[in-house]
Amino acid sequence: MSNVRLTLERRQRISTLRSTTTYTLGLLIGLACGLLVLLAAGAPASTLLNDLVIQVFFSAMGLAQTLTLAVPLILVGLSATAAMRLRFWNVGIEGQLWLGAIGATLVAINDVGSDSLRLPTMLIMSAIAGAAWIAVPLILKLKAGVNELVVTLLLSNVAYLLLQHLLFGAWKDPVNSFPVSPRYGDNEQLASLGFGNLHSGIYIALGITLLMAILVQKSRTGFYIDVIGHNRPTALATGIPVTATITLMILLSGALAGLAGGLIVTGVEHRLTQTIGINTTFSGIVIAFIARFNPLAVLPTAIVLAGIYNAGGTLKVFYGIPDAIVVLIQGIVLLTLLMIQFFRSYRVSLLRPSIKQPT
Amino acid sequence: MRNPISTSVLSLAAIAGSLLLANPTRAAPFQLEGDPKIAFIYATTARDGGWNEAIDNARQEVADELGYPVAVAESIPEDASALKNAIDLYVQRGFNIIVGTTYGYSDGIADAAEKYPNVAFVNASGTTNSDNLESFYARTYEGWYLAGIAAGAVADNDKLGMLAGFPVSVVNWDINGFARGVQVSNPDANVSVLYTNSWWDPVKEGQATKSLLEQDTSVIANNLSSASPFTEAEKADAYSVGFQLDMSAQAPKRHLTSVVFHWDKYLIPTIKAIAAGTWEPNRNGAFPGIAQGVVDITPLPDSVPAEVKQIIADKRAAIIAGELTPFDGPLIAQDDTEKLPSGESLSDEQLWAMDYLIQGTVGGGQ
Repeated sequence: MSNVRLTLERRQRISTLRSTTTYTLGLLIGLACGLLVLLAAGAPASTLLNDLVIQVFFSAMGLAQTLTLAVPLILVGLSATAAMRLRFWNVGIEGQLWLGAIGATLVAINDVGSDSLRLPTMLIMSAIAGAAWIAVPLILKLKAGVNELVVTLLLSNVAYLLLQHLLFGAWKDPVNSFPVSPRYGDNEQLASLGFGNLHSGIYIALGITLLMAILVQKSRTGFYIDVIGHNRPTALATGIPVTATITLMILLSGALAGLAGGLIVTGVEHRLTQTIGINTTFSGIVIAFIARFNPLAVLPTAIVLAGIYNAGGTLKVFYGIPDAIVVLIQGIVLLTLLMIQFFRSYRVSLLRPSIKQPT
Repeated sequence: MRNPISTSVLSLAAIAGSLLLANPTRAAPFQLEGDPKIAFIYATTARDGGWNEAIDNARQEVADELGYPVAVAESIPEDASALKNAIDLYVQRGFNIIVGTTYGYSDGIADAAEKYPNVAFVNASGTTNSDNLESFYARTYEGWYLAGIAAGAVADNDKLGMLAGFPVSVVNWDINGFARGVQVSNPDANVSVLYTNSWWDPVKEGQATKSLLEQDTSVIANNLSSASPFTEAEKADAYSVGFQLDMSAQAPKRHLTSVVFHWDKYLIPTIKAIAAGTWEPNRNGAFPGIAQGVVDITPLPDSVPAEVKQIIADKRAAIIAGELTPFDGPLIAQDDTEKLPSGESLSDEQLWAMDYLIQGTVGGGQ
């Protein structure tokens, strides 16, 4: 009956302009769908634009909060990127993040090193602790072929139990006996930038993004990563140092997640608590996928995601919107962003054959 | 792992701090700018069937009785950045009385109180106080003590059980208060204690209750707020004691009593004082109990003998009159160490440091 056909054609080259417009369009479609849900939930249409877009990205206070939330998201996005480029499923980012926070607190509580070097020591320790936590699934994978999905996921549970064990035991704040660590000293906190709650950790996140971009896009290691990620047998056959490259990148993935934990405790919380970094595994993987494992793209993606989370807080405060609706809207926006990738990679066209089909 | 030197230094600092706080230079009462506009901030959903819901019931009373605008934000996580942002947004919109609802807000709300000296802050179960911030909790152990007397009287053996969340002082004093009450009416009885290491886990709470019931436990006291312990106890024909809200609907036949909060008895007078310009936050936090009407037990069923009801009424009156506390010495811990000699009663500092369970309790190993 119909002689009109839909065809799919893989795009050979994708320009930056096309990528940018496609993602912007996806974001707008997602936000529009989210808006419909909000209106259905009873939010007043007249003030929504102001409260969400202006408040979250263009007011000084809102922008400061968005960037503060973005700092750990950038790092967990890079962490997921480092592992995903090698098809290593690190679904234990939360666990490495908690270990990082524990590592930093260990340094603070035991007053390791001189006072002036305390903060850098804490951050380095957080990266080491995160790397050590992912070393377990890495070794099991390399030596025994154990699936990293299961090990990284379950080790997160172990990490959380360890965190609780410390907070309810040895590290319990003696001042009030609640399960939080003693508050860090002034030399154990990142400097506030005087812009909302934003702290100097943002510079660390920006610097590391740049280094990651150089590593994966400009260095020889980056070339190895691409080959191993796309075709491991070829990489082995051509003498590329497969095990060394995998080891480096996976430890880096753990270290970045650990550092995210270190930045949360030294930058915002100023002590170890049970509530840091919840759901960062999910956020990190979503960011890495939307950014298509490109470190430079992780930066804007993490900031947009932080803005969406920030808007969620605004909705709860201004309209009393329940958490379930907020999560639903966030899910819709993220799904739209992921699905729009299809239209970035494929050209969809209507074919109207000029020659009549034989009947 | 514990560093004894830094720990003792911190303890000394805490003691020095509390000595300083004991004699604060009296500042002028807090003055509010503009008409009161109140915001309640919850870490999870407000109608959670427990802790938040008890505060949210009081919020409705506050709104009805005082008639000020009241806003609610739910599920604001216990991260300093999330809380401070929520407070920023409220203050920007002219809210000047902020009510926090969890100890996890303590640091963030203290930072906000410093940033906004003209805004009044109160925080339930918080640990921080200042010129415009007062944390508040209730002497819940007084209610648990009265509930313990009733529970000891209806138990048909000497086995009682108690479910609790985490081994922290505010939980330990409920367990110890309950055990103290049980000893009044049933001196040979023991209270078996199970920590679930969670504040809300219906499955685990149900399993823990079953394991207690399999050991012939005749009364289940529940320091948590899911329904499963009550339904399990009802099925096994065992009595149950609830907490935070009246839990009688969960076990219509065998609910003995619930230790309940009446936060309106604290919040309404406090907000009235803030509005009137007479509020002076207590530098050690507000700590009301049965005497102020903030804690009580729900009416007891007929299964509690009349003479026991009379004992409970007498003890309650003695607590209100200040003649009795549930922790009058001697107080002996499970491991036989004497925590308090005869003739003394626990100070608030000692209460907040209660990291032990007393004799008359079993288990609860930490």
